[in-house]
Amino acid sequence: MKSIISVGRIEVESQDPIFDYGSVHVAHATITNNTPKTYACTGELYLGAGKVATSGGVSFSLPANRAITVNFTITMPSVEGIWDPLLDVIVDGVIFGYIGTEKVKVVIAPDIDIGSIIWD
Amino acid sequence: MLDPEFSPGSEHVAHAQVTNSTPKAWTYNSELYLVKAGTKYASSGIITFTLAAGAAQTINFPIIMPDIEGTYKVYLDVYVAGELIGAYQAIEDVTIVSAVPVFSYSNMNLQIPYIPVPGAEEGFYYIDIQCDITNIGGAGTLEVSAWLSNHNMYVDPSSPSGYTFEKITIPSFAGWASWAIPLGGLDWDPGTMQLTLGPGGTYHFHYAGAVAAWNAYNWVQLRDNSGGESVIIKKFSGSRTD
Repeated sequence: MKSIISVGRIEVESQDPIFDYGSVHVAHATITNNTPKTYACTGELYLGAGKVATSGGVSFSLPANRAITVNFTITMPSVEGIWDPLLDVIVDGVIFGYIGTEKVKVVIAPDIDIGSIIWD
Repeated sequence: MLDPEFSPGSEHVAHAQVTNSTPKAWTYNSELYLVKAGTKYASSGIITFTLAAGAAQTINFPIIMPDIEGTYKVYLDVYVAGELIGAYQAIEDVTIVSAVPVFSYSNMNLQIPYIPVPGAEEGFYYIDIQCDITNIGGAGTLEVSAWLSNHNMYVDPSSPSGYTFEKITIPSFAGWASWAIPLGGLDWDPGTMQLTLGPGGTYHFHYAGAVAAWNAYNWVQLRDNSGGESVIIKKFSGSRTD
């Protein structure tokens, strides 16, 4: 039996995403309604099973027999790591889970703030 | 705020407040240095420090100032794992100025005890000049001379203006009979000497010689070749005293 919905490629702005901690990015997911019925859906995109970062719930309407692109805004966590982007879509109380094909890598670049110099 | 001024070759410490603005600890290598006309003249060397995530700390950079006068830009470079991550230029430059010696004169004293100088021509009398000299400037050498204005007249001018001061250039006790020179007198100062003093250094100037002082007014002053001078002391020598 065909699933109610299907999700195409989950793109997080680049093919091989490496992001700075704290930076804000948008993941785009193409979601297809395989039925002749329109659904009110909620999607959540997050990084890793532990949800080190999440878009929170994003509500959208999924028209009958249509595919739409849904944007999920996510702030990169303040820890370094590599995570799978995971997408949950809730349709009629049923959770459909998907895994993005490109992992997200978060890096912390060294930085320093230098104040004024005092001599003695 | 004025740029800080330092003496050539002096050692100072720059204190820089640094903050790790990331959520991760890092070990930084840093160098503070002074640049003039594109050339690095002085450096703290590499100072290594570690900052925890979000931590702030004051880092000290000891540095020996350049020997050449001028204004220097102050740079602070910070590296992590060999990569330059911070290149900071201080708002204030550093100015190197040579501290020159400045002599201050006190306790100027002139004695003409009206004692004829043994071995000298008739009419020459013992003159004794003493003064305390303090260097209130930087280390250095100045020429210090006693200057004398001698007037063999039995009048009392209100001031020595209009009279010429002459620089004493002979050693102490020049022309004295050797037997009359007091013990250690040959070590007394000549009328003109090169005096080297460190900052705050002091010296007691003492000259003794002969002056044609019979019934005369004498004005004496110490002067140096950078414009420093003592007060003028006046003494009458002769059959009356002042």
